[in-house]
Amino acid sequence: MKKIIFILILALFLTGCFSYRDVNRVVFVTSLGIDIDESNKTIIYAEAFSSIRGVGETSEEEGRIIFKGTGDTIYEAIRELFTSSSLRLNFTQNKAIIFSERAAKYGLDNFLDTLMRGQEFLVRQYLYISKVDLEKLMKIKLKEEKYLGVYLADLSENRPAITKRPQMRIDEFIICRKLGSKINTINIIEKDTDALTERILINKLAVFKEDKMISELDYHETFYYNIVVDNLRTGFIEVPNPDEAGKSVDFEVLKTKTKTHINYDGENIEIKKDINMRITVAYVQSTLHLNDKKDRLKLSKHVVENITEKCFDLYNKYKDIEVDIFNLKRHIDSKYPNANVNETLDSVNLIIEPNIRIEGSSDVTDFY
Amino acid sequence: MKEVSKMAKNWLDYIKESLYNNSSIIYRELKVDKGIINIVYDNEACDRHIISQFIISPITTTTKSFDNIDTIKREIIETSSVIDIESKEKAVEHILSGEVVIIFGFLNKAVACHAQYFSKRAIEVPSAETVIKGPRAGFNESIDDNISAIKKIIKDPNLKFENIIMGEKSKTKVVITYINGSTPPHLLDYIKEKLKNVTTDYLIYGNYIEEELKCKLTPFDTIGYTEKPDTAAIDLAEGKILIIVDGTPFVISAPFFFIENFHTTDDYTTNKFMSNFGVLLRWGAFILSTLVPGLYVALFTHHFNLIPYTFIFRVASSRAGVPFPMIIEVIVMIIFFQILREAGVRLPQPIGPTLSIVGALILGDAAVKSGLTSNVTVLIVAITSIASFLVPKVSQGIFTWNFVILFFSTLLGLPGFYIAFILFCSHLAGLTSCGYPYLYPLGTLGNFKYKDILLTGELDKINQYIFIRDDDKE
Repeated sequence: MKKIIFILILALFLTGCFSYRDVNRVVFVTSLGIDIDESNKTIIYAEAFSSIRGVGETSEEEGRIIFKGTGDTIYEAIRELFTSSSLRLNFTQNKAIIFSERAAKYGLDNFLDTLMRGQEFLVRQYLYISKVDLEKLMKIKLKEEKYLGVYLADLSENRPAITKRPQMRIDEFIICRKLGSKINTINIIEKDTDALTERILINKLAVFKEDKMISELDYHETFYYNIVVDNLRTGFIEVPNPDEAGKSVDFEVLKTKTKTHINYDGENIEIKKDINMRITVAYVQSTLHLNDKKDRLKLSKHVVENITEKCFDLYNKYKDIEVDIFNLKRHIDSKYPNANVNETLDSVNLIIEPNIRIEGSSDVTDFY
Repeated sequence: MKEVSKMAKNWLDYIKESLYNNSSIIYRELKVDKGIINIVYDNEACDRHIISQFIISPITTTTKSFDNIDTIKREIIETSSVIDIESKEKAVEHILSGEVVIIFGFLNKAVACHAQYFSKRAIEVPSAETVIKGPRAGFNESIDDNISAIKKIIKDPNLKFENIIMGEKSKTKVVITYINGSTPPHLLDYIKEKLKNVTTDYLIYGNYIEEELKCKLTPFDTIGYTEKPDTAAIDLAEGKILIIVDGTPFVISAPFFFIENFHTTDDYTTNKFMSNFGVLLRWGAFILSTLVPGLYVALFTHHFNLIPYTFIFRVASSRAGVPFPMIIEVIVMIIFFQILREAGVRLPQPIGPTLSIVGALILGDAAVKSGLTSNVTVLIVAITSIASFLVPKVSQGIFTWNFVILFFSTLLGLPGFYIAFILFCSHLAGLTSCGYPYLYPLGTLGNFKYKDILLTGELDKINQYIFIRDDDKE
């Protein structure tokens, strides 16, 4: 009994054993930047939070540290990061994995293995593509938030900050990259050149095919893309004002839900996208008459035409370059795994059917 | 001239020898027509007024003859009780118990008359079981007062008081109280059997008996106690057994269940909804104070990914200057707090507030500034300790298990925390109180008819015996 008690007491002081690690003895990485140089060597940037021992009465201090490491592979580069840190780097609080545009075009598959293998990377970490030079992005000083990773997480999660947002988490991407036509989209970070202070923004999507960035969707395309893939939270649609030529009406999207129906007759596949959207009038240039149902139907028709036209424009634009932008094949594979569908989707007939309901203004909403 | 008889001389010699150097013993001789009567009593333990008015005065003034002991007991001595004494050894016991021993040497007989008078404390409001709305009276150190306080509440002829004397030398009076018919007979046998094992010479505190009845090797009390007659009466009504020990200002109740730690008198006397809220709060506080330190250490040393970044950054910067591992920091703070609590209990009341201020300064501010601990750890330990005060009867258990859970959490993180939690639950589940499962009603509801399972039951249905009797099972 005495021996057992002795061992138990001894074990209490062996605080280094197992995976015990004191919270102030690690450096928390908040965002990870992945870039390549001309010779395709990996460059890693890590923005990190570190607690620093205070010298005065208070022991509370913290610091933002940027690490940089290079290597032939991402693994080697990350190992090099560790060599320059006195404390162990911990990636459990990492909020953003940012690839440079160059690295994205080179192919994410070159980096994903380490990110998939390391368990610390797999929880709540979002992927971004940066059009800003990563070194400059890491050095950026934002007024609202000290840490870039935290800022990006807030920017992505807060509804007011962005109206169109498909967020791609790393765990989600690892699954989606193998599904259907292997087309995926990831948010693009850009520098806001018009802003008075240093700012970054997210309002575009990078299109990936088989882990390689092939193009990007602009602001408007992103909106319609999100409607079709049922990823839209909120936004606005602009249509001509029926009462006055040359003027426009803006509709705020309150809620939208897109359902996909697939029908395969053995030869052709019909895919129907039912878009159920509730909108309300957000802004009217000049005046607008909404006296009866006829007026509302007329306005709805404008919205329907707008959505259908823009969605088909986007679909056809990418179909021409043999890219299944809405990843329709993913839906077909899940319902008809044995259907013979080629990459060009020749046998696929896409139908987009928006069902628009204009709500009254009695509901209190804030417009962004 | 009538001489002291041989028997009286023999007895008196024995008493004097036994009570040698005992200055408060009074030996009095009275002369009557048949011979000498010897009166022996302890001056400090008897009421002199009773002795002179109801014993000496009737003896000296009576015209009746002293030729029959029954006549003397029936017609001359006027005290409330007169009993025969069989032996001189018994005579010494009676004297020490505060009774007056009268030796009628000429009849070869001796009797003991009740004239006890011990100084005692008045009935006061109990300090440990304060109530907002409800009876205020508490027990005191006098067993007679305590018995009368219970009798005042329950006037049932089935209410039984069985006297036993315990302690080889202290000869402490112990009374087993129960309501015949409500208490399971085997429970009564069990307790009587257990009481036989108490072989101490001096039974000073009731806790000697508690120790014998309760489960060993556990910080949880598996035997209850109360300082209030009303609570004792409720226990009796439920079919429990009370043990009243002379000189102890609380009564022991058995069996006692874990769930009873979370109920107070106010639960039955104040608004039901608010009292139920109080019960839930006590349960919450118990869970919080038992598990929070372990969970804190497990999360902040093994599972950073489960904590929101704003919180973990705050804790990390708060701990930046702390030289110890988190586990040592938490243990040091818990011990600090226990020192403070112990000092608060032992100090005279007027110094209490001063101690609180010094304690708050030391624990709250100076410890953080000196780099000994972090703000968050102070908060965690403070919450744990304050929450444990909501259920003071299990605070010892919480304190002990805090360390066990901390130990496992430190070594293994959350899996260790779960292991310790399971150990904690199994420890509780393994305890018994007088043969009944301590953790009742969990899993054992069928064996009891208890109404206060978690929340306060209907008042007209509680205060009934909780044990299912043999005839109920049929």
